[in-house]
Amino acid sequence: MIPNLPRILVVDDIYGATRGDRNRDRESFCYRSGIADITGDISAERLRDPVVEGIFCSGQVQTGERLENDLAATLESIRRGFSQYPRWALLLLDLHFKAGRIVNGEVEGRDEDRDPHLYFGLQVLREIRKDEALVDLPVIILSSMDRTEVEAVFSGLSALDFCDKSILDRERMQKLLQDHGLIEDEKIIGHSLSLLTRLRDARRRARHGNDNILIVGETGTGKELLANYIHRWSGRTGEYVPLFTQGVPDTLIEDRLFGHEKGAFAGANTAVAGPAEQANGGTLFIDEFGDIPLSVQPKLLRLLDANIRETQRLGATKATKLDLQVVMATSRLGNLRREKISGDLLYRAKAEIAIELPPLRNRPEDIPILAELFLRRYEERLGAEHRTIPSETLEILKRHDWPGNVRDLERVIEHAVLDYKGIRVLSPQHLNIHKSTPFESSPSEEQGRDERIKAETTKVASSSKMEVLVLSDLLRSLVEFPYDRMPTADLIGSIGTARDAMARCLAGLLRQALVATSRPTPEKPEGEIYYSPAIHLLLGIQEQDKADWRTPRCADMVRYIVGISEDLREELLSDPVLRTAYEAATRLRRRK
Amino acid sequence: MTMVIDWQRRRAEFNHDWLKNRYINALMSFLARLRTEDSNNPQSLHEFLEKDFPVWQRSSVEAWWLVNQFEQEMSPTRLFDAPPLNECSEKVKEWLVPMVHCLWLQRYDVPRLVATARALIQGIDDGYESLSKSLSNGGEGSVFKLRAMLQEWERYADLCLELSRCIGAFPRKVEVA
Amino acid sequence: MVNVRVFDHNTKKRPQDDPFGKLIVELLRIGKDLGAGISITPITHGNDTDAVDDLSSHEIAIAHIFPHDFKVLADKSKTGSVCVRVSSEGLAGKRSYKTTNGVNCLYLLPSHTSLNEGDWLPLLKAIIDQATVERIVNGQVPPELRRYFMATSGENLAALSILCQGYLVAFASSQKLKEEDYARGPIKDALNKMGGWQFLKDESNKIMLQKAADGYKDAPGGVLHEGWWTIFPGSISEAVSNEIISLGVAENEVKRIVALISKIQESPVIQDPELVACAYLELSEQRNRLF
Repeated sequence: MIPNLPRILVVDDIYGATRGDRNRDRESFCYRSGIADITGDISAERLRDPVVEGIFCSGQVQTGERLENDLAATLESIRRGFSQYPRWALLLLDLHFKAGRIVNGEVEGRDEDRDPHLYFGLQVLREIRKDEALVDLPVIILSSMDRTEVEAVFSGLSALDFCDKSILDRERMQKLLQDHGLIEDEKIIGHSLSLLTRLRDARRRARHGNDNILIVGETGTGKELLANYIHRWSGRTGEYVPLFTQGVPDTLIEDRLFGHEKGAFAGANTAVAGPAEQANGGTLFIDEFGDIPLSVQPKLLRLLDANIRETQRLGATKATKLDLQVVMATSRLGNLRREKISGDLLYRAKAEIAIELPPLRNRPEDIPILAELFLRRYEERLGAEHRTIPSETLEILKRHDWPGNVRDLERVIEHAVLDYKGIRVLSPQHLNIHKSTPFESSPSEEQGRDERIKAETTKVASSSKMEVLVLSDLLRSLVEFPYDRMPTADLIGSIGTARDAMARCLAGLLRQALVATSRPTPEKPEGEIYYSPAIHLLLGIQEQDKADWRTPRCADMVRYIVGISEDLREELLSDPVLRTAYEAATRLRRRK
Repeated sequence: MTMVIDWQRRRAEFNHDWLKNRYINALMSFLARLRTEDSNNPQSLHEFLEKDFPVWQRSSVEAWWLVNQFEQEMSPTRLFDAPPLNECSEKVKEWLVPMVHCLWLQRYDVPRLVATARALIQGIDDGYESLSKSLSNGGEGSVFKLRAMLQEWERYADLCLELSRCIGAFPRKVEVA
Repeated sequence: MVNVRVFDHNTKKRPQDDPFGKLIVELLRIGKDLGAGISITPITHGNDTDAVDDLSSHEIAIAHIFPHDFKVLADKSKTGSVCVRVSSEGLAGKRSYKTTNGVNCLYLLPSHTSLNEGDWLPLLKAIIDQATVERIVNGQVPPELRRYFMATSGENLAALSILCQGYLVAFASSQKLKEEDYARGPIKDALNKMGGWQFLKDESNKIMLQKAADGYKDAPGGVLHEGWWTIFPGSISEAVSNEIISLGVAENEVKRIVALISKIQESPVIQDPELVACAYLELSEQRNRLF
């Protein structure tokens, strides 16, 4: 289920070429870099201890006596491997591809190919960056060209790193994977991009070794697993020590965290080191750190201050300096910001760069392997029959909301096995989850409306349930988006894009409302367009308020909506419904 | 200037196409195999010695040409062969041409670059000769004996890497300040 | 009848709705205006590889395709045919040329989406005229077309830079300047940039510097005299500004350097070496950006 080794794609004219049944250059490259060649086009040496599996692509096609760069086929290979599992953990991309006539078995090459601005590798990279499906693909430039020659050119295309071909070895390959690769983990199960990118973020933070790291996620998303993952990748030799604060009375938290000296309080018969001390040289994990009472927070701040990093047991006269990595978690960062939590604490916890674990509903592609994992676990534990999961059941699992996330899923599977030990096919009836899914809509509640409007609204809702629900989710996302954490680079040109998005959204809504409120006439049986009722519908104007929204004001609103984006106006007006309404609105205002 | 000169083309073919992509690649793989305690593929070691290692002999000629011809090929004085600078009078060219050349030599530290490259090529030539001698004295047949030469092989590889960096540092085009 | 085949790899089914496909629509309209003798037909479907095969069988091909496909097109086309590459990002710095098998490859400098009928009419007329194409690929682009095709690889800028350097060295050696004597900013900066001070101090350059100093004297053909710049046919500032513009630099960026050059040429005797130093520094910056 979980691959042993990550899989990478190497696009290189020399190492990717197939000449006969061997490519000695590729063999050498693979051996020194620890790559197990699984391309299958030539016989490959078996490595004793590979670091990664590799598939090689030359990026070229031979037609007769010529070798040409093949952009379409190269992109197809990249897309295919990134959309299936196991997906590419990394793409190693050469820059200069030698093409042209083949003379005596060697490619002649062309002078133009050596122009850095025309490197085939950069063309591939440009196309990758234009493709939404490949936006998360980590690309490393692998080149024998001088870096300074091409730095300006590839840096603007979001290549993550540059690796000199001549010095790539096993150690560097492992470092590339650690720093940039989308690698699956044996304990945090999943192959969705949203999970793999978080794991990568976690590894990058872990390599600092003594950082404060905050993990945010709903309950059951695996925050503790991720904390342990961070410890594993930190290279720290000390222990991983978790501390769970939920349910612990406030009066005891300080003791739980920092420990006590003998005689510090009644009943303190021996000295006890707190988890912070126990984790010295390793990693301390504090779950739901926001539950730590205000009275203890100053001490916690001293622990989190990288320049101080000290702990003091209850009853001790001196503090102890520690070497620690501190990982904290919370499932309610938004609430913490509103509550009386110290701003200093959030700052030290580096809340602005917290790692967010996605809820399970946002990574449905991970549900099948998780379900499979839990089934096997509980079948073995409970001595139950092995069962398969048909696609119908998987669909229901994927569509469920999972408020308790992975833990919730595990519980459901556990009960399914426990309650139905003898079955061999896991059907929907065996699942103890609420049958209604987020995608079922309740019947329209528009009672007092014109029947035709009601029919149109329902028709829109039922024929495009996804669109209606996606819109409301989309709007909610826009409201809840953490704008204060946006990188400055993302702000560049953002107003234009946002404006166009708004223009399309409002125009789309207006159009639907115009159709819904249109009335058939003898001259126009398909429906005459009236913009005032459409505006009333969009704004939710009640009868008693319609006096404030007479025709001229509605006309202004129509003209405003169509005119939000000058760039899109022409396009919007190419739609006959919008154009009719706009022209009518414009005529009215001209008369005035 | 965006014209492609023979020297530029041959430098790219030597340094990028061959030295880095092929020779150093094969050499690094050879070294990695030598360093592992039990090489399960001695054939690969011998293949390197037969097919890859000896290629330096003919490539050395090209390396020497590149470094010896650099000044002549890439000096900005070649701009005086074409319009509009070829319109300068002979009296002016008498001092202007050598002046342009000397300024270029100074600005890009050409004598030091060339001297460093020459020393490296010589070092590789010497290393090649020494390793070839050891191999022909029975070193070739035995993995054990090859491993005993590991330090020498590593020194040879370091020189090749250094040469690659050095040649990469030569000006990429005809430079006018 | 001249057959012009057009391909735009971004064309969708309705080219008039596609900003890139508008190239084809424009050309079709203009082709009609040019009247009999020119037939423009678009390729509106298929992938780049298929289109290249089709384009290569025509006398004149105008293509919005990837660079490597354009190279294949050039290789496959017949001797004497014309292949024109356009790009929505423009092709600044790309010089038109003739391949070894006699195919004329033209690169359109500005973004083709920025062109209108006023541009395409003269362009098409140029592209279908053999003599004009010949001049373009030889770097002798007619003035009215220099906005569209690159006339140079920067020879004029390089030459001017060298002449400025020569002037400054000749000036410095004629005055027997020492670094500490001449603290004026632009001259010192310029000589430093050239690597000049060390050169001036070097004994082995004594004879050369004496010749330079002699050349500095106020005589026709000397460095000090306006004749120093006469290697340029026509106006030097026009030659330089045309060159920079054809290399894709905006006109307003060129103004400062053209102003400096014009000032240098104002009087028969070049009075102010500081002007030359400023011109050299400006040229140097411009060349660094372009090359």
